[in-house]
Amino acid sequence: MSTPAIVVDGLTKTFSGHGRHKVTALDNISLTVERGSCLAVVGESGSGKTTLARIIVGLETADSGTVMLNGNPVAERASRRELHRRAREIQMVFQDPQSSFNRRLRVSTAVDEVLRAHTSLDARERRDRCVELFELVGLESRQLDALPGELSGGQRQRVAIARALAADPSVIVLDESVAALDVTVQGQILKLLAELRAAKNLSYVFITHDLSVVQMVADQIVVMHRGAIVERGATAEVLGNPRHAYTQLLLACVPRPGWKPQRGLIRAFREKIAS
Amino acid sequence: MSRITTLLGPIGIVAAALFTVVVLGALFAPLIAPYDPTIGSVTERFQGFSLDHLLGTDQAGRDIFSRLLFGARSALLGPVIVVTITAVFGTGLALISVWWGGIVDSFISRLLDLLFAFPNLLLAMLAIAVFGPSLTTAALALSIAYIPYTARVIRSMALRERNLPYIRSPQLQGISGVVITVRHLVPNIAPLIVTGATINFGFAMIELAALSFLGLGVQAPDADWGLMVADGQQSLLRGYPAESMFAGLLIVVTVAALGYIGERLGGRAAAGRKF
Amino acid sequence: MLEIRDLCMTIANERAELDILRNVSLSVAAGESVGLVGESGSGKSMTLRSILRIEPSNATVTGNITFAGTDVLSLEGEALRQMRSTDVSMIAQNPHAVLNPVLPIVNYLIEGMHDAQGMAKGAARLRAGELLEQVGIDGVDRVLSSYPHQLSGGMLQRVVIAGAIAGKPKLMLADEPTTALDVTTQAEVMAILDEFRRDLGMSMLYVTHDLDLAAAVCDRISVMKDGQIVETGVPEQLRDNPQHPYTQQLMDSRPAGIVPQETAPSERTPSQTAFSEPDANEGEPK
Repeated sequence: MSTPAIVVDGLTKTFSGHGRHKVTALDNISLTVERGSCLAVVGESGSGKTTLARIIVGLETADSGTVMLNGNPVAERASRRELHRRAREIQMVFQDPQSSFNRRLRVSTAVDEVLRAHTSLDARERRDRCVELFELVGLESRQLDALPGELSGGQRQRVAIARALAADPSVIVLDESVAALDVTVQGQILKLLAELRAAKNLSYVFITHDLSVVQMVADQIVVMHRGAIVERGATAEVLGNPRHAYTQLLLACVPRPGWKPQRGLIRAFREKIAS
Repeated sequence: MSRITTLLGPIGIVAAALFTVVVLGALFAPLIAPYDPTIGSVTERFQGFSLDHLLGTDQAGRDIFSRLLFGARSALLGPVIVVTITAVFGTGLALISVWWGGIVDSFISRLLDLLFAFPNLLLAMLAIAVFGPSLTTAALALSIAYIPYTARVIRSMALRERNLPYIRSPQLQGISGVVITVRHLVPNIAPLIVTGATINFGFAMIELAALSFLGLGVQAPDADWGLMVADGQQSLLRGYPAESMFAGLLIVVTVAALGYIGERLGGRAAAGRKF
Repeated sequence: MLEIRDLCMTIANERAELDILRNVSLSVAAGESVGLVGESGSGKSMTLRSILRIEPSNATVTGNITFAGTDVLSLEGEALRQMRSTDVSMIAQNPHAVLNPVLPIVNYLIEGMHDAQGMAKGAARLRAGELLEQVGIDGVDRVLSSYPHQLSGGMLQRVVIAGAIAGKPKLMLADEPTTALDVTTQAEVMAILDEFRRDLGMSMLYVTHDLDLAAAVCDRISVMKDGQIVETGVPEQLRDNPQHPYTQQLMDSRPAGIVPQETAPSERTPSQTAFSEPDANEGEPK
């Protein structure tokens, strides 16, 4: 029995909104990501899924609760050395391929920068490693010297994945990483992610609002609504036989062949929750 | 070259040309000026335009054209000091504030608020009352007064950039804050810093001229445009408007030219954000 | 109702001329709903914009657009304004960009009825309330006096729809109206839009990247790629028998779509995913 990649226990986080109004972004969240598996965190805007992702990688601190990464706690205020060490365990790929890179620097610089921070390779070896990483994510080596603006959204997202892989982490948090891409490109990136996971035994936390994407990548799924997990389980189980009213609502709203939009589903759900 | 032309537009090119003439005049004043700007002759007071004295002479019999050339030096030097200090410290404070956040941010923000509460000229006069009137004192005092403006604008910009993936990613890679700031953050907010400096330059020029006009900046017998406007008042009453008029005109033209250039650059910088 | 023939658009910048639209032809009959489906850069939004003559200023448009018998590309001034304000209404992707942030919602709704149709202000306000009720908004009075930033995106988009149907236009142009919304809100907004279109017998040209969504509310669908329409057909035909490889590719990029509840593959073990198996890749576009 190996240590799980991530164990989140009792995370709570509130933000102070306007005036005295407080917003509970996360309400006692616990979850586990087994090594080599992919957990999808599904929710709509305001569900707290992005806050959860940010706490897991250490960009934000929780009010209470703990995050264990490969058996070690993710410290609240980490030292430089701790941050440096953590970088080799967990990485994040963001949603927006537009602003993922410094638009003034060649994209290979972003990858090179990581290699320089985490390896003792010299300039030439790093360049070779960049080429390898680019090939790994399905880019050509001539694209190393492109500026971010010269690449398409899908290509930029591939570079972002290469950058995330550069320090050889075991966990990657994907925050809506395919949401901004065209559907045909989405498919290609999801396939790449699945291949990389199999090849490198990576663990993913896949943050998304899109249920149709979930079933292509995730083994396990948690459904979040207003800061709480309302349902969890194996992907096929949850999607095939949703128990919670909110999951049922979500599923009823996803366009698919033969689907027609229906009025009043949200209202019906609210009434059901209230009663 | 054509890029600069499109950047500035036709009016911008005229503005840039005018500004260049002023700068060249200041730089080569000793070579161009036909007379010593500080030495006059009582026999040659209040002369009109002539070949000997292109723009006539002032109440002390000094050559106005020569004084305008030398006056350009202090007129430009003062704002250069102000703009440099403001840009360096304003940007520095803003970046420190944004990067550390929390208490540091609050402390710096309150400090800037405090400075904000002082009217610029009042602060300058206060400093001059303590340290005695001179261009250096006036420029330093104004610099301090301008820092909050620059720091605020840059802080809000940097705060927005800080949350973008191209800054967050290297942070998660364990790369140090200083490196990220210098390599990624500063180059991407540089257009804003430059635009702010251009606009500040104009303000500083007017306010320094005003201080000199009041006798609190550059001291007689040195030449300075603001001082010349003041000195020219006597000549004006005697029917010789040349001194005040040309000095005032040069201030207006230089400030307007720079203002226009700054606006063009600023517009481009804003448009460039969408790359 | 709307007839587009050989529409071409070129945009020239300093360096090159780009062909944005190449011989786009499509028609929308009275009371018909047509979907224009494509990915980013396909020219679907530009087609929509040329119907309202709001193409970019550096664009050259040729071809023919006829709306209710008039040649749209030759319209100018008052006639063009008339068409935009009463005959055609548009629902854009971002309602925040449409609604003036410093005016309450009621102003947006009354504006059209009062200015364009000469309705008295009091009557217009009553009508605005009715419209909001029709698009399923509770607490109409509170919403009318709210400012845009106080309302959610889904609420605002419903306000925009209410405004769009207020003048009973002949043609509704919808440009990705639900892309910025959550999926549950999207379903609600699309249902409302569809219902009103049918009740009022309006024609609709619906631009979206989501083929399933278009199929749910459209009688016919045109698939666009690189400024051209590659295929047009009824939704079932596109789904079951796509003629163009690109349509096929769009269909395949979400292999299973969402699993319908009754046919869930519960026998699939959690450790397997569609893509970790080598033989699951046949649907992947190359």
